[in-house]
Amino acid sequence: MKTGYRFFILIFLLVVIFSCKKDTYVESSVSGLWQQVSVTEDGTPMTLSPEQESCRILIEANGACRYYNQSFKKYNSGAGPTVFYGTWSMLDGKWINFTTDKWQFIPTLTSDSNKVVLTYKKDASNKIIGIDTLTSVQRQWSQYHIQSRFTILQLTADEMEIRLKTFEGEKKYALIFAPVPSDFIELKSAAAGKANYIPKLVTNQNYWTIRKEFQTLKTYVFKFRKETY
Amino acid sequence: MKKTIFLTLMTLLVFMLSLQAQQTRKVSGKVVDLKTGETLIGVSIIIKGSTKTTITDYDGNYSIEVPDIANDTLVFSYIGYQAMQEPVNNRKYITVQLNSADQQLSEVIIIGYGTQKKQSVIGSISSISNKTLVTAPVSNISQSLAGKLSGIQVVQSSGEIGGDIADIYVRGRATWNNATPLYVVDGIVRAEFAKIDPNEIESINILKDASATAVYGVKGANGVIIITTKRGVTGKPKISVTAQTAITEPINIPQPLGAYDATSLQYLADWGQYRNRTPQTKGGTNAYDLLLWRTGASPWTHPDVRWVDNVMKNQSTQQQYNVNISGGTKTVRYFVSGGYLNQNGFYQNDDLTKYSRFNFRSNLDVDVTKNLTASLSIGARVENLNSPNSTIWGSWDIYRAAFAVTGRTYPIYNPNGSYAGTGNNVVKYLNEAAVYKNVMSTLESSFSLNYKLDNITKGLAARGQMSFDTQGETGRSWSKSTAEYVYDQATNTYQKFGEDRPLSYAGVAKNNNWYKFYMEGGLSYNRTFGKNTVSALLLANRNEVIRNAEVAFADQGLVGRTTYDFDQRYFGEFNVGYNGSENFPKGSQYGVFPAFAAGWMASNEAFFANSKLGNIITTLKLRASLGWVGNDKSDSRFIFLQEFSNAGGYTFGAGDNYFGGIQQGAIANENATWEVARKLNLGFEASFYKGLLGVNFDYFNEFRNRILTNIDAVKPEYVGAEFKVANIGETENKGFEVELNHNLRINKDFSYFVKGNFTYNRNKILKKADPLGLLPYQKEEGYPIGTPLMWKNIGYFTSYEDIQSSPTQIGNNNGIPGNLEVIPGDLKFEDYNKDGVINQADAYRQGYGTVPEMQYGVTLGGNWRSFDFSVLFQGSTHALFMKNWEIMWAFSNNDNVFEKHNNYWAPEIADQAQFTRFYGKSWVNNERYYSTYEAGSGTYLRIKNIEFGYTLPTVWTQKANMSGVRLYFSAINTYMWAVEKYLDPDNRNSRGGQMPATRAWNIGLNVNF
Repeated sequence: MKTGYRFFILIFLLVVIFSCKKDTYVESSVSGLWQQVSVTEDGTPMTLSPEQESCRILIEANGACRYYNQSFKKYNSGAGPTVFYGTWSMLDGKWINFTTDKWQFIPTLTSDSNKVVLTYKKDASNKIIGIDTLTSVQRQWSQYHIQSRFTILQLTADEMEIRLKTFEGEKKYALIFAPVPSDFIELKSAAAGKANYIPKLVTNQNYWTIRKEFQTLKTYVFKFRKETY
Repeated sequence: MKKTIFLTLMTLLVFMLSLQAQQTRKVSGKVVDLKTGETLIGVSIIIKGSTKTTITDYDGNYSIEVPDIANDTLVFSYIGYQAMQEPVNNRKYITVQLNSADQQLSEVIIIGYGTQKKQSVIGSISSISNKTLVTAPVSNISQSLAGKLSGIQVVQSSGEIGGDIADIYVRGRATWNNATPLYVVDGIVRAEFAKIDPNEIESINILKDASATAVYGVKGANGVIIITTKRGVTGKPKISVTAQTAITEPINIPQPLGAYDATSLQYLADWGQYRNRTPQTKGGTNAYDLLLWRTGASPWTHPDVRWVDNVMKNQSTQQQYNVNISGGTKTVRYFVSGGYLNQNGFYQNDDLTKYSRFNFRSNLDVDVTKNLTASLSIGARVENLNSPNSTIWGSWDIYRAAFAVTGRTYPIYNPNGSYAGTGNNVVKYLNEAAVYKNVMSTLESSFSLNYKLDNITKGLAARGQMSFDTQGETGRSWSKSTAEYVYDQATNTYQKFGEDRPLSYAGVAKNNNWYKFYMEGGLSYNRTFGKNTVSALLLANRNEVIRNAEVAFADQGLVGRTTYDFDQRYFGEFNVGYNGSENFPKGSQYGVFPAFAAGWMASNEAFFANSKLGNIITTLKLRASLGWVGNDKSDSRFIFLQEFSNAGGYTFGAGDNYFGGIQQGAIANENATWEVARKLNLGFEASFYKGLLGVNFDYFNEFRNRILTNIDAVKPEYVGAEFKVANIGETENKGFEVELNHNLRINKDFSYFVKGNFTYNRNKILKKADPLGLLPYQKEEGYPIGTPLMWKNIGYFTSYEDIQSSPTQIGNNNGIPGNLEVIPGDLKFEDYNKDGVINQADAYRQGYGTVPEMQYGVTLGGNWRSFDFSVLFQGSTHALFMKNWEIMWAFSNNDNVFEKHNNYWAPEIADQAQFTRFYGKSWVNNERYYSTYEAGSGTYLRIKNIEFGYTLPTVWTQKANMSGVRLYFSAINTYMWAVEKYLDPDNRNSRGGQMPATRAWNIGLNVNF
């Protein structure tokens, strides 16, 4: 009898021990409209611009998400797009993936002088009259829609806190979740008259700085609060 | 009056005497197992010479009316036990201890060309009886052996029906040539044994050391597996019927990621940072596409096809039936068995995925005269296999395609019902596949005569045997072609790919026939003189195999053996094989392969038995052997002959003056000969506390030389010709084996047993044709056979600072040629030579070969009343296999990704990454370098077998004239703990393209009459 009692205690303990595992989150908790309320960089709170403070993410149950991003509104006389689209998914109940537009840094250097290759505007006599900023920037940056993986730190009915360790440039020149407006310039395609929102022109002065941004690891923690809509 | 009284008394006396003479007396008793003391239920008891019979009850008790208690004899017989006769001798209560067949087996061991009492065996031999083989739901016996015997390593690398025979190695491998053991079935060397119905098998013995295998001479170096089929014993006919049916499941089928996850990763792989690419505004991707894949809202343009789910079944079935009858009279003994196996495969097309096998065996022994015994043995089987035409040579085209082909490009069907795609529609592969029908018929027959020559000298006998085996295989295929179409939703049009061709007969795809003739004749001698027992064998044999139209394979030789046993204490043995093989040049065809063995049964010494040690150690036998055996198996024939072949020609002048030329082939090796293995074996067998614990231990050390080796790597560069293989290789192979067994009867209802075995071996290449200039740690010499040459992966680069502070891999910096960039998330390799640069000089031999160095098994089992149970844990370690292409790399051939790729390296989850970085990944990167990162581990522990049985009470079965009925549930490959997560650890295909082994859940019924 005593042996049987001990046996059941042992089984009970084993069940308890093996039942203990890290909390995981369910997808249904993610759906909703979320407002970005704070961002920290390597543990230091970042000052949010008004555009960032106005950032909203609408996460839909079907896997779509919309980034309401006021950062771009200031360009094009306030007519810039305010909604960008992405998708989301959860992995193992521990991570959440958001797909967003990102600008990748790919300027070329001349092999002899190590200088940034720029495109210039020329007049009818083929004389350089200035930098063709639009063409130069289009050759320096490429825009793609790719995934970033965040660790879910907290996910309740009202709050979501997610962490992203990534390269500074990866975050800075992406829609995660609202870029700082000063990192972008407005460029207009003369032919289409359509606005392009592309990061700044890379020059010999800022080339190494930006390159370094894409090589510097930083940890960001984003906190969101759910809103009703 | 007196006369009347006298007559009356006399009449009474006569009556009493007659009553006494004819009086039947009730004799009762109990029948128990000799070893365990367990009572035996349903034991048949018959009075010899009569038809009167009874059986034991639930408690093993019996009672029977015996007509003549003075002279009658009771015969006790029971399935799985040795029959026993017991004279009544006026006793009223007789307890009988029956010797189990296992014990019987353990007393007589089958050895090469004969048998030997276990006590006098001093070679290294492992044995298994059929009891542990018949109930496992496997399609062939090779799958049942893992974990049950010491000294063998079993690797089942394919679960494809009809092609799922496991590879078996005896004490690992000591050669890079063919390391397959020799299979001997009923005394005849045969190509395979796995397809014999387990119900036909009496025992399987593994001969491991040279003493045991020397009689096979030039073919004995890789060990010998002896299969002995059942034969009849004198007695009433016994009929055994077994039926079992199983549900089978494929284990470890790779499951690709769904379309959304895969596309997300592909975007990441294609458009990540720093990829060398042309700039563009948007990389052709957007959230809308992803969302369509995620939601399945546009199945024609954004499909999410799971080919595995549409092509493979989760479960299938398997049935096995066997009926056999055995018995005999004083002069004729017989065993006849018929079996049927039906296996359905795992493709979702039943007609294209089934295998069946009929087995038949008839073993007949006739005592022609008092001294002459004739035996006729016939084994036959017919196998039928249906499979898709494209999988004639394996499951590659459909099984591999099911997990490798992307499902996000085209749907299965177009809106109009046609097959969608450009030629990669896996469902079409299966549904529209033409059938391939393979029929294989095998006949194995032998006739032998044994004649006792006691009239010349007691113990002398002559023997002769002839055997004729044949196998025919015909595979017919049909072909069919079905077009696929790409649907353009915008224009509602279809573009056709491929052709529609109706089903037609494509001809014979396989047509193989072989015949085998074998004959032997010789003398044997066995006699005891007081305390001295001697035996001898001298035998000549010849073997010839004709395959298709090839020149016959032939070997012949002499076999000799002498044994000596003094007082069951000291044993000596000499075995020799003198063999010749046609594969070697005249003058070098024959060789002598001797082996010596000695043993000492210490426990039979008086001083030992009388000592305190004798109270603990019940039996102790020490044994040692040393011998030389050969291996004539080579991938190529007639190495000693110079070959010439056609080499084009030239047209001279005008017209048809064409002259063909010939060219010299690889330069012949006129001194070619066989491999020779020198084998040393030291071992002991012991039992403790009167059999409570048994231990067998063997240490072995093998040196093998003259291994045929490709020498192209060491020929001078200025020599243009190629050379045939040369006998220059040398290896050593060392290891040990342990077998432990323990059994105990707790009370009359419960007993249990524990059996364990462990095998370890490590080989080392001592000499091989390593190219000159190779770094010492890159040579094959000094490492086990098959040890890969690769970089050691020591993790991922975690940051640019990490890259800067680590040895460089960049090709321009003297690193790995072709490596243009390294970024965080790439693989970090060990700087083996500590020169600050990672390049080809840092790759070194490491890890293991594909044959496990360690394999082990533990069986726990027992009996409780009428219930029995057992579970076998089986494990394997120190083995690896390489992984590449679709099973390893992301978006490689056919463009798929798996769960591990979803756990790609990213700074956020760096410590849990299972795959390299994705962003910025260029297609030439260090993920594909040959490194430990690509090595799959062969380490696992699995619950190999589980079995529960219930024997019906005899009070029920005897009413139906049955001697025993057992119901059982068994399972195989039930659960596994493995280091390798995505493939079966026995997988040996680097692209994972072979169907994995099977898990099976089985119920069975065995009825004995």
